[in-house]
Amino acid sequence: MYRLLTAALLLLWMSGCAVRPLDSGREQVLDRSQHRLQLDISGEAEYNCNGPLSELADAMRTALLCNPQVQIALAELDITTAELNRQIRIDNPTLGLAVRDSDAESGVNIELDLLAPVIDLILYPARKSNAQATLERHRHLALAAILELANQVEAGWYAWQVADLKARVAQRFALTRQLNAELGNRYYQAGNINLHELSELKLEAGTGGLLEDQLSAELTMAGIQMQRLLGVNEPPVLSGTLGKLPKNDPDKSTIWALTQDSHPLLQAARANTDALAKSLALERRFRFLLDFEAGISLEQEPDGGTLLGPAIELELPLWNQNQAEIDEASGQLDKGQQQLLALQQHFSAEIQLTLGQMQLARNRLARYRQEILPAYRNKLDQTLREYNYMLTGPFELLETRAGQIETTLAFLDDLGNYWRFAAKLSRLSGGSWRAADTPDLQLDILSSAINKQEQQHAHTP
Amino acid sequence: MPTRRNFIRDASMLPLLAAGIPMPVNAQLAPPASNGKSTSDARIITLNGRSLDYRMNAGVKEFHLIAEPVEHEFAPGTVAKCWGYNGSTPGPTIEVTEGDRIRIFLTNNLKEHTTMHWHGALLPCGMDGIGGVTQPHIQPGETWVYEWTVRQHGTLMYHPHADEMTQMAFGMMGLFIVHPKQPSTPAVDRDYAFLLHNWAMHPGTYRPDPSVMVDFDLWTFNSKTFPAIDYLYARSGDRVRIRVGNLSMWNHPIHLHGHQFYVTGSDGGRYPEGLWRPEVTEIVGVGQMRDIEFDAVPGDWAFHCHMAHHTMGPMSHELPNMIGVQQRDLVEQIRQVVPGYWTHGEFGMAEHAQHIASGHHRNSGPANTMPMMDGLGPYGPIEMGGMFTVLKVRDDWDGKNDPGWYNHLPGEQAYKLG
Repeated sequence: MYRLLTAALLLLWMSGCAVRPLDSGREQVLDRSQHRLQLDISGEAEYNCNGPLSELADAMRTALLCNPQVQIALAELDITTAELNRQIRIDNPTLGLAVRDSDAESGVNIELDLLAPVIDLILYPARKSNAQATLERHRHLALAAILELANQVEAGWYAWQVADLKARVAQRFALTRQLNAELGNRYYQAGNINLHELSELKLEAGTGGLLEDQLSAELTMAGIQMQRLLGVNEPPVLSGTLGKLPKNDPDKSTIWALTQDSHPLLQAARANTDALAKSLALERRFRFLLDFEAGISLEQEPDGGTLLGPAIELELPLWNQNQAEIDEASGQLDKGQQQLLALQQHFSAEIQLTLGQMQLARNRLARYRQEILPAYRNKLDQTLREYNYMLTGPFELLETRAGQIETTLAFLDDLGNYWRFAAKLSRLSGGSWRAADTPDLQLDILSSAINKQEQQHAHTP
Repeated sequence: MPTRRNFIRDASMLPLLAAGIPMPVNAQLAPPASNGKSTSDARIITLNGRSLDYRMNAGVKEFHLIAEPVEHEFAPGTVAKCWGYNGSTPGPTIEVTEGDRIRIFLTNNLKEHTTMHWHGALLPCGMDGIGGVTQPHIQPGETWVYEWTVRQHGTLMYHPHADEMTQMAFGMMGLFIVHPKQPSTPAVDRDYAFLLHNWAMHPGTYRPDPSVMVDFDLWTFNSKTFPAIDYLYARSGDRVRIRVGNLSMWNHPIHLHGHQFYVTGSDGGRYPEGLWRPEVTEIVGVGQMRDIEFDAVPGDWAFHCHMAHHTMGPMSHELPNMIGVQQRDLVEQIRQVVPGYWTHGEFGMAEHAQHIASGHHRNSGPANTMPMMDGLGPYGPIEMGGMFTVLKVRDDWDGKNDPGWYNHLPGEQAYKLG
């Protein structure tokens, strides 16, 4: 008898040992992040979070290693995993003991019941499978959170670079207007222009100063934004340059295939529907097996006789056949499927919209590069030539230069737009696509607009 | 064979025939070649120009003018798409003698119609060349004939009277000189002639702008600006006549240095001597002709319009006055934003001419644009442009070649005191 009891207990203990908890897979999430971002952050325990940033990859690596948001996302995953483990765990067997003493002659009546929630044991594989699907969803969500941070860093990087260029150009713009006003002052002192004309020049100089202040502040704010995204204590030092545009933008089908295949939010939504489908199947399969406990019952009669035998408790599905739970699971599955569909539609439309915006920015940049900036260069060159021949005055020459610089600022706005939308496309692709850039084309354009003059008119009388 | 189109065209001419309007020239009456052997007995020296050849045909002097687009150089570095006659603007000078029967063929090789008005000529009204008034316009490709007997002498002009604003702005004009049948006295040794004109050749452009009324860029003697205008030459004591016609849109006070000349004639012919008046400057009004005569005095004598801006090359009318503006200390700073910037004009605009003369800024202006001041004399930049040239008079001039700059006699040149 005791052997039987011991065997039952041993069996229950072994079955409990067979139930292994789910692993959060945080390392797997980090690996996926590295792979997706094409970054290697292994062995970076002593990483210097305030080190110089010379390219976008530096910034992303810093964010992944230094921004607590990454660890928060991973900790959230651990918590979720624990919650799932709690949900699927098997309750321990219950041991019931009753000792009754009816009277002195008849002795003591002892009842010992050992009941295990067999239903949990039966359902455990299915529940675990379901929980694994749910956990996979959360792994995707954790990956999405990390990639979202990386993407914000990417967008912030471009914005920071553009802000830096614009601030430098605005400085030049303000200086040009300021020199024009100072020149006007000289003309006024010589008695050659009146106060009205001088005031006009000073007003323009003031406007130039306002723009310089504004764009300088925007650069500072872009730096602070980067500091926040990188999760560092000191403002980062910008040493990189904005890359040139890739030769071509991808077509929608390419990005859409990447998005379908690897966007973590879509993967999470798919994992969700998978989990919900399993949940529904579980509810349906076990609609008549609602609660079931089994064990052994031992009774020692007062006369010393012993009764030993199996004991079960089974809920009879007469009035409740789990229909409500089935309906709920079905509804949840339907909702999950529709959410997946809505998400796909959202991504599809966003990809198309973003590609259109990139194309627009690319076209505008091409027009700037091919028509507007060269035309302004020619205009400035022509104005200088006219100035050389006393056919125009210095105010018009400097104002033409200011106009050229102002146009360059507009060009930079479109440049910033292109990279902003490129970063958005990268986010829509789940980080699987990133515009390949090569440094310095834009700066070439800026410097050539300035230096061409230096080459042509280097001579000094 | 009559066709509907021919019928309509012919029918459209009927009212003109009825009104006595001449029809285009027929095949029997052919114009002389415009580039044949010269039969001209030209006595006029047209500055930067020539006289038109003619052909005698049964006692009639026949000339052939061809209205056509021409590429014209105002001065080295500035060329323009102009219109003119026989390959030039102004067209060649027509010289006839009082009493001549003349026949002038005009072929229109332009893309728009034209006519020819003989400015100042006494002729039958139907030969006056006023499009729409005295004749139909001469359509592209057509050749028309003007024919009359010359009953006057004097300095006349020719120009279109069709889309006149455009065609004259583009350079369609010429001199029409009628010599007197009986030579008058005193006889003239050297007889110069040219037309005054103005051009809206905006800097960097290649075609005159016909819409400009006031602010012209180029001022020309016979469509040339200084320093591309021919010099005038004479021997000391020569009797020189200069015939000046004005087809520009401004009056021009023409001034000759070192001489007191007489105004001796116009399109009304040579005045009776009692009407001659001594001057050093004579205003030649718009549409007027003036002949001046003088006995040449040795030296290099400036000869120019006295409107100061008319003796300049292209210049801006909105240029802020730069005289007296000290900005040298700003130049380096301004070069930071406008490389190539330099300062000029603080002490006057002559600095510009010095830069041009020294070659610093010879080609630093807009394309196809000459500098505002140009010319280099024996003592430095001449600082002129537009309507300016020099009369060179020498005792021993060989009659052909430029004698170079004048060698002043001792005691006859300004000198530096300190």
